[in-house]
Amino acid sequence: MIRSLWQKWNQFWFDPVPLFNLAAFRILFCFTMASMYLGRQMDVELFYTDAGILPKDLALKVLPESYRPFAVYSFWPDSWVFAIHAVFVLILFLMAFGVFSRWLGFIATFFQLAFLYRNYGVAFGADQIGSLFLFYLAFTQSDARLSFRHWWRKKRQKSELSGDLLTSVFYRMIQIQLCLVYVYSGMEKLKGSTWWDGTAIWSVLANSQMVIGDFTWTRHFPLLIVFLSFSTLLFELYFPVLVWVQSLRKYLLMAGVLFHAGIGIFMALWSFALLMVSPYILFLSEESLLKFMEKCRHCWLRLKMRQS
Amino acid sequence: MATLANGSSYLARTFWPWISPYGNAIGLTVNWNFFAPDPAHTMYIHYYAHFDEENADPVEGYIPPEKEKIVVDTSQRRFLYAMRFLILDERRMKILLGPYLCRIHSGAASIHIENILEPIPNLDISHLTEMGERREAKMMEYTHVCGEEPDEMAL
Repeated sequence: MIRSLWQKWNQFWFDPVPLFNLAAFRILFCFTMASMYLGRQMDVELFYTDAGILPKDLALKVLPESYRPFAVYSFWPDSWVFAIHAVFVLILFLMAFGVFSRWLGFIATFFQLAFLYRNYGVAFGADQIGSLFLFYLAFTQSDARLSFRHWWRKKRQKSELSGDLLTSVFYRMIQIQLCLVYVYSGMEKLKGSTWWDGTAIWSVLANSQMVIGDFTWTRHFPLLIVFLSFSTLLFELYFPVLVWVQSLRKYLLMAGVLFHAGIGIFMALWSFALLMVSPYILFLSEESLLKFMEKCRHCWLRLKMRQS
Repeated sequence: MATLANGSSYLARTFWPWISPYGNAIGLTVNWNFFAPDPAHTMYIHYYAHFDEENADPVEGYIPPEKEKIVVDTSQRRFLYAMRFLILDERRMKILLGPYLCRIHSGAASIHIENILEPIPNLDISHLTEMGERREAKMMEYTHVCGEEPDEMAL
């Protein structure tokens, strides 16, 4: 019994993982991060220099003492911020294309953390999640497939790369991190009275700072609001457990895509939605991912045919 | 991963001195509390920059400039988040927001800042009645004298 449990534990952490899925995750994740930060490029002076909101010497002081890193990582002068940020965005694009993703991953993580801690107040949830996924991704051989490196090796008729132990471990770390984000988020919601009485979604839909239009008409459908509020809670609390059950996995992932698409559409938080959905790819088998991609290609072709 | 995400737990309190330096270094000490415990109400900052010159009218402004409307542009949204980060803590508001507004309104003698909250009406009430004008509540007001050194130790 103990031996079988030990074997399962080892299988979970160290068995080879689908490198194709990891590569697909890398592409979606890095493109989302790169485009999100490309949009920030013109505002780096406001966010990350002494002329902006937060002077550097106060950057860590605004954080609670026990949450401060040992130093501000942004060692560069303010005049370099624009260029450094541009390099960071470029690195993310290169990672998406699979150019030295492992080494660039560590450099990108450093830049990501440097900007995050330089002004924590302007950080989105997407930035926090992004920095962790980037860190985990750096340890993996994410550029073994669908990458410049893969293409280059093929051209030189070298053998395909296989995964290593670190890749397997950090593949699992990304999956577990996603589960933890959901479960903590769900448990934090349980402390709130509006989540308990089922009206929390109304507080979001009626908040003009959060949603892209006037959704106050939804007050005429209170049961729908209650349903959406409780569904959110149940999804966040149960996803981390049920996603490991093979037979339920696809339903959980589909529910998650719908959930995040709702956040993307109604709240214009596309980057956050895509960053949260990107690790779903790691829960699929390689065959089902290929099948899904094939279906998408067919749909795209059919759409194109119809248009022409 | 699990312990550092819940700093108030017994486990975290016990192991914090040993694990938090590593967690902080890689950004792992994050409380995952999206829209929790409850979604936030509408809030913004209303300010007046006063100038010393006689007959100079005060300059009025809002942060975010869109006031209670949504900003779709992610960079502008970061600005909104920064504002929330600053006004949720009175010390941050005094030490960071005041000097920042003095910097962008150069020549201002003082800045009067008001933290405005527009509570979201209860669903039960909204369901039964028409949505009228929402009432604003002034949560805090503060006047920052430009040129005055902020007490950074208070942070």
